[in-house]
Amino acid sequence: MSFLFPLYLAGLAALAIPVALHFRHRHTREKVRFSTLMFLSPTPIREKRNRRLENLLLLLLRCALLALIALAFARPFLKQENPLVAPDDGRTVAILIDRSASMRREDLWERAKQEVRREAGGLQLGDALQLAAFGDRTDLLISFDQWERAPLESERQRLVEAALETLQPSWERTRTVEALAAAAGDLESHCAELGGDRTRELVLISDFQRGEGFETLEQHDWPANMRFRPVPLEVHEPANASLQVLPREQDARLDEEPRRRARLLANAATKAGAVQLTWITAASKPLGQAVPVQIIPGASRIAEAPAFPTNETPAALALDGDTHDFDNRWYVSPPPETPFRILYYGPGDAASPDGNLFFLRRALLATPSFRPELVERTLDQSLEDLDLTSFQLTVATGEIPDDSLELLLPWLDGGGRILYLLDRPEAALALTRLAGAADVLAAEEVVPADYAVISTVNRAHPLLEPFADARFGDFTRLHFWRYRRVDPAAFPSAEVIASFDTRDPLWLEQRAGAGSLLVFTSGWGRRDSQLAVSSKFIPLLFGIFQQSRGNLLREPVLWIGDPIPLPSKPGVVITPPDGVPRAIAEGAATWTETGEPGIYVVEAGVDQIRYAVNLHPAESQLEEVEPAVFERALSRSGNADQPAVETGSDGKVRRILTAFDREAQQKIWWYLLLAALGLVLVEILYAARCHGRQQAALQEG
Amino acid sequence: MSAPASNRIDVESLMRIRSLELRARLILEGFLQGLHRSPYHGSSVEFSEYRAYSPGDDLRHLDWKLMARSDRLCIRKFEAETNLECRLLVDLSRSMRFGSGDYTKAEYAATLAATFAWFLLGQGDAVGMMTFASHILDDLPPSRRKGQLQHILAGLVRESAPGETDVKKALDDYLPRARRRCLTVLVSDLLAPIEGLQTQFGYLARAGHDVVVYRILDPAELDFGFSRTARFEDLETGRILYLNPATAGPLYRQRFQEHDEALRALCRRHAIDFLPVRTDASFFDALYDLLRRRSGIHQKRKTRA
Repeated sequence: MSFLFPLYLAGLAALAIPVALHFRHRHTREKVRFSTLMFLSPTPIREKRNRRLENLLLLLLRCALLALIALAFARPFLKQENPLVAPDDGRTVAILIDRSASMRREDLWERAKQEVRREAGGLQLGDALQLAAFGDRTDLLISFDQWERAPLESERQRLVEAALETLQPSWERTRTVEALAAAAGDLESHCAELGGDRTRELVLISDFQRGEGFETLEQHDWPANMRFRPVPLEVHEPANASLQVLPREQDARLDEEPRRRARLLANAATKAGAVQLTWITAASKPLGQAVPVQIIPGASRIAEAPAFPTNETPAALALDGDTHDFDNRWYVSPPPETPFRILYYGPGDAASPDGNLFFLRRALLATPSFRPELVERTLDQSLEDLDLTSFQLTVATGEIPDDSLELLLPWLDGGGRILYLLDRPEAALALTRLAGAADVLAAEEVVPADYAVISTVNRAHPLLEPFADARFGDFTRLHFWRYRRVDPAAFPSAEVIASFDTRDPLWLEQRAGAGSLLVFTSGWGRRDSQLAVSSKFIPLLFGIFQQSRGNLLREPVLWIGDPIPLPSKPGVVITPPDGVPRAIAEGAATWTETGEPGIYVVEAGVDQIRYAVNLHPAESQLEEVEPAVFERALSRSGNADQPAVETGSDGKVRRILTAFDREAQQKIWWYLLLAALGLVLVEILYAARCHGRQQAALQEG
Repeated sequence: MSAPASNRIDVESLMRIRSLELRARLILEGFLQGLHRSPYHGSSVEFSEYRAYSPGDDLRHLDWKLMARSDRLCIRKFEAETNLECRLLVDLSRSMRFGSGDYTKAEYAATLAATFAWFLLGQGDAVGMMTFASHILDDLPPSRRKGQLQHILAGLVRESAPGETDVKKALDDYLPRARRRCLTVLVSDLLAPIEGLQTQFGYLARAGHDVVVYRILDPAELDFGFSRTARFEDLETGRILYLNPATAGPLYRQRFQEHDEALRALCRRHAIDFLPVRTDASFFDALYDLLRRRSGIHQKRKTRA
């Protein structure tokens, strides 16, 4: 007899408890309190023989009960010869090959390909095969249909070789469970299509790194009748150290790049010792001195990175002295080199808090990743001497002279962005030209009896992204003393972002060519509203800045496979780490081909944003999962009906039954538990009888 | 010496009454009822003697019935009434907490002492009380004041104190306090080594006290009639012994008998009256005994005079 979970047999130790209790029971528990023991001496106690016998039987019952429970938990089964089966209609095999970044270690990839060849070579003529590679996503390499279309063995061999030839390990993280679920689904649907009695096999060739989403393994409803076969690839040297560079601190000094800090992770197999940290360029050229850092096996530590080089901008921090190189670089994106330029064009009411410029000046606080630059021009000044293309945003207000409008309109059409504050009804003429309206827009000064409040807000608009969370999206405390009423229908295609309780629009957006015009019908100065002194003002302004140049406030760090957000401008060019620039089609919102770690440079006009794309940290944690864990989860659905087969030495085909299969078939634990329940009943009745006898004896005594 | 059976109140029923005062009163009433029919009819503890009437005597003390019977004028004298002083020494140690029935020895002893006190106070005697365990718990000097009975009852109902019975120490403490000769009534189980008692009993007797020892014992202590093997716990020391009564019983009875005889011999030697009282026995026997003793004291005093 064998056991599925022999550790539970340790529960037999519990037999000591009733034995100990019964042993103790040999001394009477009856207690008599007596006035004095001065006339008494200890006497030897002699137990009555019949009473000991009674207790012995009870003891045996209780011991047997505990033993049965312990045995049932250990799940016993009998080893028998595998049963014979009739030859089936062939095998349907789905092979999954792990191509995550961790497969770049040692010669794992070559061994994995060898395993694929071996598995494919072992198939018979009537068997079907599907080959898929997985990392973060699953790519189908050979489908069942392709396999069927190549009936000859040589053709099939070529098919496999062609698939493997170009196949390389990716930089993706591991999502084994998702890949398994997809392959199991394919296997099911293909077998259902073919019909007949086919053996289904799912082969997983992997280093069995834990990866992401492993915890969902138990949640999947794995198909019955599927045989799971793991092919684990062992690593000779499991030690690994990796690094992550921590984000810049926002309160660091602005005039110099702050000292960066890195988190070093080393798994338990790593030996304690020093590794080297160096800044390198995209071409792996080291910059500055390497700094030795001690690592702690099985723990993470924060270490100070070497001083940031000043002569050349580094691309990554590199770790040297580790066994596996695949996760030894961490790319960083330095802050944008070009400042964020804002042109203010309006009345020169800078000194007064009643106007808009007063607060705009104070709102532009520089951070390490955001360097604003404000250029002020009054309406009587010309814009001719300015290179408007160097500006990301223009804040305009008042009656803009025609000559300035002539300069602003082409800039707006070419992808510029204007925030126009309608501060007086007379300025409607300038607004009409900016918006490109056919008829002259009519504006009317409205001064509510007390105040106006915002009642409708389109939180889905990118401008209001900071207020998407309902906790921050309450605008009702904001009071507006006066505003200019315009009819949104008079605009060519204006979108109302927010409107007052009087249903008059407050903020509108009008697309103008490649650019956009944002209209505020009430200013933020003290004369018009409380907006500038409210907590909403700075997030709102930064929402506008962010829209003008994406990812302004965060350090742009992405993982392999993450989409890169693209600015909504024409002529965007992206340069991946391979150095070949790609022009982006107009209207594309993201770039998804981030398959390689490195720096991706997005250029749009004067703007240049560098995105660092890194290997996901989860991929560096090389914790392995026992293949048996997968085996257990996947075979739980029960493959007793149609397990895999083997051909014995006598030429007979037999089922291959695992310990789980046998145990599930025999279900001995069930009988043991039933017997234990019976014993509980007998024990209760017998113990009650004994107790009754004792009570009777006591009363007689 | 004992009252007719019809007048006896069942001890067990009596002990079920929770109020000590009520118990003592019931016993006393039953006792006094029985007394009228007893051989002591016509006499009383306080009655001392008759003497011939001489002019000037208080007519309230004239025995009118005697005059009617014998045509002689006699004056009743109440000498003893003014002199008797009684001190009750009641053991409330943990060993007194034992009781094989529904009540303990301590409860029985308290009832007995309360009845004594009531009876004697009713006769106008001065009664004092001292309760003890390993040390003195309460000490009430003899008094015949009205509230004395309540004080005594309150002292008797207190919980028995921890510690072993130390009769020797209790008597050591008692002797300096009882300088005047008096009737000393010791109510205890005296389950203590004899050696410790010899000197103190001698001192008591020599100090001129009339000493009566009421030894309160539970029937189970006398015959050790347990049948089952059990853990026996000493109430005083907490010591535990695993005992089979069948084997331990004979030795116990023998040693108890020896101790009892030694105790009796000690009392005899010092002219101390020793009266064993079983807790299932009527209170009347003890009361009669007290009555007899009181009259005996008067006899003695008369003789001395």
